[in-house]
Amino acid sequence: MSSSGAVNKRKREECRDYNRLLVVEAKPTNTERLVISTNMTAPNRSYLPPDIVEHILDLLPRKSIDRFRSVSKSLFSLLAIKFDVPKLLYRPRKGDPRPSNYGIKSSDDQSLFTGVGLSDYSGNAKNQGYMAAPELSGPVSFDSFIGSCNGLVCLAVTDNYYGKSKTFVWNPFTGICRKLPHRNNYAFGFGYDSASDGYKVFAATAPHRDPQRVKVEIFSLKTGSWKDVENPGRKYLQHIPSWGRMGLFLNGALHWVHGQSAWGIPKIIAFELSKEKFYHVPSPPNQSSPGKYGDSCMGVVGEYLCMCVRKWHTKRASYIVWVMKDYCNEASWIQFISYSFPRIGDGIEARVEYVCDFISRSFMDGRYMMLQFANHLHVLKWKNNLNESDEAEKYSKKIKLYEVLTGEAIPYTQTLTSPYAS
Amino acid sequence: MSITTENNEKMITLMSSDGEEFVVEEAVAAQSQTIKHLIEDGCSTEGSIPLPNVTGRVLSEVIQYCKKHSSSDDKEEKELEAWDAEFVKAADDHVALTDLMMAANFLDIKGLLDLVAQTLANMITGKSPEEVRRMWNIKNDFTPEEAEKVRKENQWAFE
Repeated sequence: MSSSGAVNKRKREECRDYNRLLVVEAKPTNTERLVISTNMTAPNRSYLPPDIVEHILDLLPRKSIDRFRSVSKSLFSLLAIKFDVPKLLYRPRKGDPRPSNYGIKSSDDQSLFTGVGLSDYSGNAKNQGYMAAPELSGPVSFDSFIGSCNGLVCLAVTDNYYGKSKTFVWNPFTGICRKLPHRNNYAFGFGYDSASDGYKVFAATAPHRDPQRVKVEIFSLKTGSWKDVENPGRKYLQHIPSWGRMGLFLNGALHWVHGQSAWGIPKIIAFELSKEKFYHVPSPPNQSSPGKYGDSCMGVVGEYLCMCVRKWHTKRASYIVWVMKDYCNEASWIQFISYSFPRIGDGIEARVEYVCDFISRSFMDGRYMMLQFANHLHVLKWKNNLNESDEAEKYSKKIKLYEVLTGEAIPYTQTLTSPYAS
Repeated sequence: MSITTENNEKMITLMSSDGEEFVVEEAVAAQSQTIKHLIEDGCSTEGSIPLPNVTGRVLSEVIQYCKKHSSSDDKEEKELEAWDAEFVKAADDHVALTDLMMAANFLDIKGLLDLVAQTLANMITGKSPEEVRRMWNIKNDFTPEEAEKVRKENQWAFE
């Protein structure tokens, strides 16, 4: 198994506990279930598998949904993500054919989008507004988003039957889905190259996590083939396995957090898709006040790169959201907002899961930033005058999820762009 | 294993997780998108198709459904609806229905998935949170204060 495969497997194992939304006991084996389901005196061994719960929830009236919030924390959280967040973010206007949308990877890794594309949101919600592609339905597990750009979503799924990972570029609006030719590599980013007027997927292989042997490859949707990148720059590649999947696309380049360090603000590197070269992007300044920096998460909101950095205190976890007002200008990082909240305890990491951009029409028109910290979802109004963080606080909305849900979010717009673009 | 019957129907063998084998017409089995893809990939020529997530008991129900729905293209829709209603009624409790829905999900049979989802939704629409917890053995992990708060926020749903 390649090391990227091992990373993938480990990642899936780490997530598994969170993925079982409604399973309370260990999953019984099929044989046990067979016995149990025919034995009416022991119904308490049954369980509701997360794979199917969403199908059932879609069919329930609003009143039942609200009543079932009391069932358990996990069901409460699922219902909040599925029904409340979309309502908050988007309510369609008549004759508004192209709403902006966002996607959240569901904790139940069977469904790609929970609470997405609710262009016909009403009390009785259905996840419409995106088209399922046959390649993405059925017995596949969703691994990760790789990126999104101009209405195209790049993602990785694993075939449950063969256990093979596949990479797709998908337009959720038209439902057209393109499978990339198999390569023994691991995709890390997706973006648009204006020089060649085409979309590119960035992938790498790191055999045995050896930076000396890292190979970078680019798939061009236009040529339909993989190509090696010559001299990608070894010094940039040593942390490839720890990058996480999704490179953020901004200004013709993909961006990753590079080399997570426990004590300082991490570095940012970028890969320019037209020149196929890496470069460094200045990080937010280290603040002089003492404290240990923890994990961080980047996002793109509008035309700005944002970074959410955790700072450790003894009793509270605090987050600072930085925004780079002027691309690649170190002095232009400003502190947009900071939060602190009590640590969750019980060994649960209060990680920031994602920072995502979206446009809302129902909750004060405008552009928003959405962040998920462990069991809190924060939605912040984006002001053009970025210094008014008090204003951002005023127009923010917090949704408590009661339970930590791991997730990923991508912004996407409804377009007719084809993954088979010539 | 590919067997051809007298009337030239191609047969394939499906094997459940507990080792039970079912010989069915390819057209019947291909109602499952999962099996259809496996046949297209040439898996059926190498012997029986193993279905590791589906027990024999559930698989026989699924095959019943597929048989009915593959043979009744030109039949009255109403008759099929009545048959569907009887079919889910026979599965009789939520545990069996849950198993059936899991199988429909794995095998990717949209009609069956929708049918069972609707049946389960109808079953729980009027239920209380306590009843739902009991049905699927879901643990109430709210503290009494949290439970009170959530219930208050959604008071209308209990009236």
